[in-house]
Formats: sequence, C-alpha cells, structure tokens
Amino acid sequence: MKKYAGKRIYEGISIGKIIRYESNVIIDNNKSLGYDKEKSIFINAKEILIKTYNDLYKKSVVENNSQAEIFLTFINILEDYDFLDNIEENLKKGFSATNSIVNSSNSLQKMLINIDNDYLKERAKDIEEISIKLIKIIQGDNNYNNFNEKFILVTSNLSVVDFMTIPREKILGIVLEDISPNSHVAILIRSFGIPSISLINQKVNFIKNELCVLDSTNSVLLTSVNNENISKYQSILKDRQLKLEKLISYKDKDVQTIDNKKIKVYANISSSYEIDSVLDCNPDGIGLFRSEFIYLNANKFPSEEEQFEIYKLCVSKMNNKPTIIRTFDIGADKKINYFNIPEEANPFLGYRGVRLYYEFKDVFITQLMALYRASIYGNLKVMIPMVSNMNEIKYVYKCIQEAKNNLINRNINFNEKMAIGVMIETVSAALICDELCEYVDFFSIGTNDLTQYVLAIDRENSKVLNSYDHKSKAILRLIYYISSIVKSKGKEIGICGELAREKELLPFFINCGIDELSVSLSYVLECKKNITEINTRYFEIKKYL
Amino acid sequence: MKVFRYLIQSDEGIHARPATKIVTCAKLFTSNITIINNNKEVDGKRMIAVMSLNGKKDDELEIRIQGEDEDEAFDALLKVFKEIL
Repeated sequence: MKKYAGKRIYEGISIGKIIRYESNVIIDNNKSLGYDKEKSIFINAKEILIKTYNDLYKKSVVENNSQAEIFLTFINILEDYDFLDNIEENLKKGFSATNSIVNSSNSLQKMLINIDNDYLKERAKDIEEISIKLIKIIQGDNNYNNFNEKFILVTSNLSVVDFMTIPREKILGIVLEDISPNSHVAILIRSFGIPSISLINQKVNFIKNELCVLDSTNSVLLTSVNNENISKYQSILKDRQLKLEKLISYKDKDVQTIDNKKIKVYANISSSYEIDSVLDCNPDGIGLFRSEFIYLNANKFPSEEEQFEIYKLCVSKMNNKPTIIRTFDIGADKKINYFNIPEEANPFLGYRGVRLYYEFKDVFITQLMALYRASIYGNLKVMIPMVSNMNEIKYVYKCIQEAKNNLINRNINFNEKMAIGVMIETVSAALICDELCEYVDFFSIGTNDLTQYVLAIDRENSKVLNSYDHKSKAILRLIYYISSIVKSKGKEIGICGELAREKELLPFFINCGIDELSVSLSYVLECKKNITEINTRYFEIKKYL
Repeated sequence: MKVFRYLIQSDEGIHARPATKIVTCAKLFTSNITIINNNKEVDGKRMIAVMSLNGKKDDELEIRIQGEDEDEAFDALLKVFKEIL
C-alpha cells in the first residue's frame, strides 16, 4: 500500500478507480486534409463547444452560480470575428484545423498579453483554455462519458471552468497536486461537498483500473491497496452513509436537550458557492462567513459592487436568519500578492486581521459599504477579526461612520442598526471584553487561534502537537470568564472554532450561556443530534474549571 | 456618420462583461461601428479587440457609427454604454 498525505479540502471517504486529468494537450504538426475538410472539422468542434457552454450557462443560472457570466464570455470569444478571421486565414494557408486554432489563439493572446493590465492577461488565459477545449473535441477527447463508472479525479492543473465541465455525479473524490487548498477551485470543490485533498510536492502513481481509497477524513490517498483494506474501507463507508441518512431527519428539527434547554447551531462557510449546501442542512444561521476568500480568489482588490452581489446573495438566501460576515482576515497563513505584505519572522503574532485596516483603510471602507448595502436584504451582522485593544475597535467605528456617510451622500439605503461584533481570538480581547461590550453588539470566540495563543503552541508544528490540548482547562476557564461577562452585559456570544463541535462540552457551553455554536457544514446535523442526546441538569460547571 | 463621446464611469472599465454587452449590441446593426481610446481604434463588433482598448475609469471613448441604420445604432449603443460603463 502506498500512502500520499496531504491537506484536507473536504472530508469524506471514497473508493474507486483513478482518472488523471490534465488540461494541456499534445499537438503534432498534423497535415491538413484540405481546406474544406479542415474547415468543417473546425466548425463542428466550435458548434459542440458553444452548445456545451450554452448548457453550462443555463445550468449555472438555474443554480444561481456567480460563475455563469464566464460562459457567455467564452461563447463570445468563440464567435469573435478576429478569432474566426484568423482561423480562416490559417486554413486557407493550408494549416490543419488544430494548427489553425493554435496559431490564431497565439495571435489573439498577444493582443491582450502585451497590455499592462492583469485582468486582460487573465482573459488571454481564457482564450488558451477555449482553444485547448476545441482541440480536445477534435482529438476525440471531449468528455467523460467514456467512463461509465464514477472515478477519483487526480490532477495537477484544474481550472474552475474545467471542474464545472466534468459531470459532478461521476466524481467520487478529487486529489489536487500542487494546487493550494485555498485556491478558487478548491473552494468550489469544498462547496459541492466532494471528498478531496491537496498534495504538495507529490505526484500520484497508480496502476490503471486499480481500486484506490481517498480517505480525506485522515487527509490521505491510498494506492495499491489490498483486498482486506478495501473491504475495511467499504464497511466504514457504508457506516458513514447509514449515519448520514439518520442525520437527515434532524434537518428541520427544532432541537433541544433532554432537559429542554436550547442552543443554536450555525454553520461556518468560506464562499457564496456553499450557500446551497448550507440550505441543505438548514442551520439556524451562518456564524462565520470568511470574507477573505473573496480577496484570495481575486487578482486585485474586489470592488464594492462585486462584494455587494456576493453578500446580498448569501443574506437573502438565508431568509432573515442571522448571517455573520467576518471582514477580511488577511495575513498569518493567508497571503495575497496585491496586498504586498512583507515577509515576517512571526506572522501569527504579526500583521493580520484588523491590524491591516489602518494601512488598507480604503479597502476596509469599500467592504463596509458593500456590507451595509447588503444589510437591507436580511439579518446581516459584521464581525471584526483579531481585535486586541480598544483603539482598534474605536478606529473601526470611525471607519463605519465614514462608510455610512458615503452611502448617505450617494442616497443609498442601508440598515443603520446592523449589528457589529468582535471575534475573540486574542487573550487580550478576552480580558477586556467588558470594555468591548460598551461598543459592540455581539461576540464570537474563535477557538482555533485563541487556543494557540493561550497555549503558545503552533498547531502546524508536529514537534509540539502532543502538548496541544484543545479542550484544555485554560481555554475552558477563559470561555467561562468571557461568557459570564458578556451575558451580564446582555450581549450575545457564540463559539466558532473546532471546539464548538465537541459533544462532551455541550453541557458546559449551555450552562455558560453560549447562544450559538458555529461548526463546519459537515457537522451541523451531527451537532443538532448531539444536543438532543444530552442532559444538563446534573451537570456541574466547576468540574471543567 | 454619427459620433458620441463617453467618459467611463465604472471602476472596472471595459471588462469582459461590458465588452460582451457592447459587442452583442453592435452586432445587431449593419452600420460600421468604431470605438477609439487613446488613439487606438477598433471594430466595435470584435470582442477581444474591444477589450484590448484597455478602457479604464475616466478614459474618454469616442464611438463612430456609419451606415444605413446609424440612428438606431446610436440610440441603442448610447443606452448600453450608460448602463454598463
């Protein structure tokens, strides 16, 4: 058995044959079969591709996918007179359809690539992508219908559009080679709930038609697996499916503990693509929308309009349920080129979260304006990351006032009273939460970062991982401290880290007065089920402290 | 011939989406449609060419329309520009 360890994108288990997908093509200098023949080959491929894009466009519109527009652009490129004239010229010169496509694709790309504009350089890549698709159609490598079975996809080069053209129902799992788990395509894969991992500096070797196991719960891909292990995984998979079927019944249930206590269950998400999966498990709200992924997916600062559309889509689909959007948390492990943040010796204690909002004031105000504009479409709340002192929150309110004034000057409607909250990730924020209460409306404890700051342990460092106890007494004492102060001031408090899904801590959270637990989408239903199975009556909070 | 000038208002400039809309509209007419930005001149019915104008916010475009249906084309294009740029 060979094991490839990577980073998890979406958890799950899949067993199947591997198909390797590469988006580049090999072109021989093939001879022309004559103008008429080659021309009809090209026209035929073009028509097939236009039809494909048209179908994808319609499907995306129905699914309310924000990627829909790209397919219209692609169709327009395929019908572009410069493109077609160029092809025609090449065909007349005696080139084959394939070579004509390559030649005109190159000359069209030149029109855009020499201009000093990153956006246009990206569009040059679109032209290349379309040309590759055309050539694949001509070479007969058009689709995945050749594969009657479902498969595990392994790829080192998968664009968003590539991914969307593969029939989703055929994909059991996905292994990305050298594609970041924070990349656009990885986020999209996650939003569709496909078991998947990302491997760094590794290439997968497999034997054609052998059964392999993708165990993304443990972030590994296994090849050359013996029969014994295959059947072991098959039974794990079966158990999981049974468990999942049972959990579905909790979807629309209003859950409470055996002694009739309640705590809300929210979901954490990273993109608007996930919103339909959110509706599928019907949480009480969104506890953490990580808006920085909008920035991570862009080549430049996203505009107010772009952001507004995304926030509006989410908040209106949530239908008045609370939707907490965290303003961009860049820095630490989330680096973005166009922010131009210099290398730091200690990024987790460095330039990140709210600390960037001084230098990037315009970017922050643009985001605030987009959020305020979206606020009238539902129950939108905004949360500020990495706060560690009072000056920061005072500064945030100054920016909020500027954003509001700007919208008033532009005669734009917004919800003046949109709730503002603080994410408690630093020990200092925890210790001054009484003063923060004077300013903000709600809090959410981000236990992942808070834990590493409290314990002074890096979660990514395997040497010290043994000492990392995420349920340590120190953390629980801090949560108890924060919640008792925040509740005494009459404000709301939630938990949005991995700790929130610990069943054994549920009575503790409830007795602390925590209002909501926000967990990854895949844990929402399980968390609801857990609530119905516990009793807080005989529970002593002291036991944990 | 009919001519109008248009100052780009949108932050994005001539991205794929506006270019698609301009070209889709231009193709509805038989008139020749030329768009000019910073002395660069392109055919308004060619999408990649229109994008290659690299039109940014505060650039002033000149649109020239010549042909039988230039009046209708003028009205329709002006409307599109106002909506998207």
